[in-house]
Amino acid sequence: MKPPSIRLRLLAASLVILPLFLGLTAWALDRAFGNYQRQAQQESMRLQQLLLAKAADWVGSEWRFDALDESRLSLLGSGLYAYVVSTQGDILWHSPSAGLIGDLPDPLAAAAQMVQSPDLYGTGIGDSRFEECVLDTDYFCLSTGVAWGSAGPESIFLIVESQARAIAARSAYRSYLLWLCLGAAVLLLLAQSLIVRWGLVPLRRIAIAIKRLERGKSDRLDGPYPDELVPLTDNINILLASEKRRRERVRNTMDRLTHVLKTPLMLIRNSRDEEHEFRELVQDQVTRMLGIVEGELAKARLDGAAADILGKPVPVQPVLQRIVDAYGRLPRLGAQFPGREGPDIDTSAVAADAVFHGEERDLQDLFGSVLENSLKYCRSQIAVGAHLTHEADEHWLELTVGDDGDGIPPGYEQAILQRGARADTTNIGQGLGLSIVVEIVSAYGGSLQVDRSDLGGALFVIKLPGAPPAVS
Amino acid sequence: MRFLIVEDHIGMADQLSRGFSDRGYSTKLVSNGEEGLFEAQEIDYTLAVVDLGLPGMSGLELIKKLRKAGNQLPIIVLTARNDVETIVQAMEAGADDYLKKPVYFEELFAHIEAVLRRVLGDPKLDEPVLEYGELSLDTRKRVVTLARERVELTRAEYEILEHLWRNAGRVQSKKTIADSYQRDPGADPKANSVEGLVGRIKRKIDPDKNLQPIETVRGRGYLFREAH
Repeated sequence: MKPPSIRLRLLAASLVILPLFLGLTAWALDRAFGNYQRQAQQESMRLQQLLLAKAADWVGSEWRFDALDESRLSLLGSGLYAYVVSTQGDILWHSPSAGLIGDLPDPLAAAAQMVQSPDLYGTGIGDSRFEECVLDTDYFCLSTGVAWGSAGPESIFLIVESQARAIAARSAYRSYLLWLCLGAAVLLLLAQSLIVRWGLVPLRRIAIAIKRLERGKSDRLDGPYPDELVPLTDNINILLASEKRRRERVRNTMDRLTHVLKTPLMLIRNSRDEEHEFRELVQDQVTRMLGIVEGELAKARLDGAAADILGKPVPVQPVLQRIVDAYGRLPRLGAQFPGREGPDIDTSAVAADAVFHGEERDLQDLFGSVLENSLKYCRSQIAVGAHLTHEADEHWLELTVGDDGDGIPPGYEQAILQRGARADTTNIGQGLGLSIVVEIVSAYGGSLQVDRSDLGGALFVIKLPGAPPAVS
Repeated sequence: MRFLIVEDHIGMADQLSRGFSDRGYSTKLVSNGEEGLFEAQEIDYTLAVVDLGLPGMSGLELIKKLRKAGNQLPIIVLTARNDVETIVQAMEAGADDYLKKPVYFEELFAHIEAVLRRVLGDPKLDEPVLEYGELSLDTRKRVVTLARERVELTRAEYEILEHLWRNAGRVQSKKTIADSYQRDPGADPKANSVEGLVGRIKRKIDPDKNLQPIETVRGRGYLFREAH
């Protein structure tokens, strides 16, 4: 199944996250507005209470209020009512407005019942309580306990105001908030869409550059690209360069094969059919051709190495140990080795931290071919080593394989590294192993040296770059 | 000695078979892994030469299955691939040796000798001429002589004698002996039985019963006595 596009993914994520984010914001704003409204209401009712106290007077045995500054307290059913309640919960005075409260048939009886609530008449002297209460509908109630000097009784001044205005303001605010959030959501989606479009421009440029590659109008991805995409474009360019080199090598291989195989084939075709000589000639030329084909195949296989320069470094020890274990079980050719036991292969000098920056198969072929050679020529001992070195500001991986054989005869050190060449003719084989080693070492920019081992025989020293190739 | 060759390429298989036959060895040729597995499990071969790139069951699978079943038949693998990983995999699967194609016969036989020497620990393998008193067997010429007089043996008789001789000191069961030679086509089945053949060999190589190199071990098979 095709994965969804990046734009679709971001849009889907926004559709999930945006409502959550905006919903949470709206809820917080609504709650803050509610708290503000309640505080404002409390302040307004406290002012009414002070005005009521200013107008109040205890005359004889009753409360008198000469002039009320707030006109709503004088207007019947205005929604703002004032009461003076005794500490026993009896209404001692009420504002003229409290004579009519909504549809209540007996507003005073309803108010008397309401003030029975301990939250209201239980208010101590100097204490204030702000509550929600119910008469015909929902109201805010502010009660304050007062002591009227030495002459008056302890009483409770109670202001009751309808919630209708606050509810209407809250509804209007919520409606405004809803439209604000919807507008913000649309704007955010639009902005995000534009940001995504702008953010994906470099990827679109890469896609266009790849199309140009496909059409053959370019042979690499030319920048500049943002830092985040540089590793991708660099690696694509490395692969492209490697692919180009591979194509060139294949073409060169084909040219070389055509050229070098034609000569022996012509020799065979032009020779006279004299049985013995002809047979010898065919044998020689076929052997030569096989050597050429094997060598070219080994070279061609190396072309795959470029892809792996992007991979992780290969730990050397397990690779070498696996080959030593497998090759150590091989029987030894020749009657001079009658025993069942193979040679002793010492791997104690293989450092655990040695790593190879390249393809594991190349390391296997490299080491396997050298070990195979030493197994062929040693008497009973082989010593294998691997460690990282630092020379001339460069890191190297050094592999060594030494044996206790007769060693390389003087003057043959370079010759044995060439394809098909061998220092001895007593062992049967194609003489290809060490030339393959040379091909691999050259491909990685390393070196191969032949020396004398401490064990007395030949010592092969392979140096390979100890750091990954630079990305350029 | 009898060899099993598991090779699907007809030309290569014929060449291998001819090479063995030219050196006087009998072979069984099969062209796929399944048949190879059956043969290796049912018949007592001296050694198997197995191509890794077989159709169906690969050479690698064949070796793994044989070893899993506890079969210790010496195996040399042939591979067209040049990489070390293939060789390591073959050795890990239980092969005893490997050879890269193209195969040269001298090279193949050098490897066969080395494997048999290592696996069987048989020092007689390299001795071209085996001797027991006045009796001698030249493995290169495939000739048996008694007091320098040539003893005429059929192909099956010669193969049984060489097999018993090479395994001197070790009792060989009738089945092992039967697996070690190729039956003469058209011969009377009764006359071609192991008992009949061994009896005829005994009469031919020791008509006066002075040497008695072959001993019948009741219920177990036959034993070629070790030369003193």
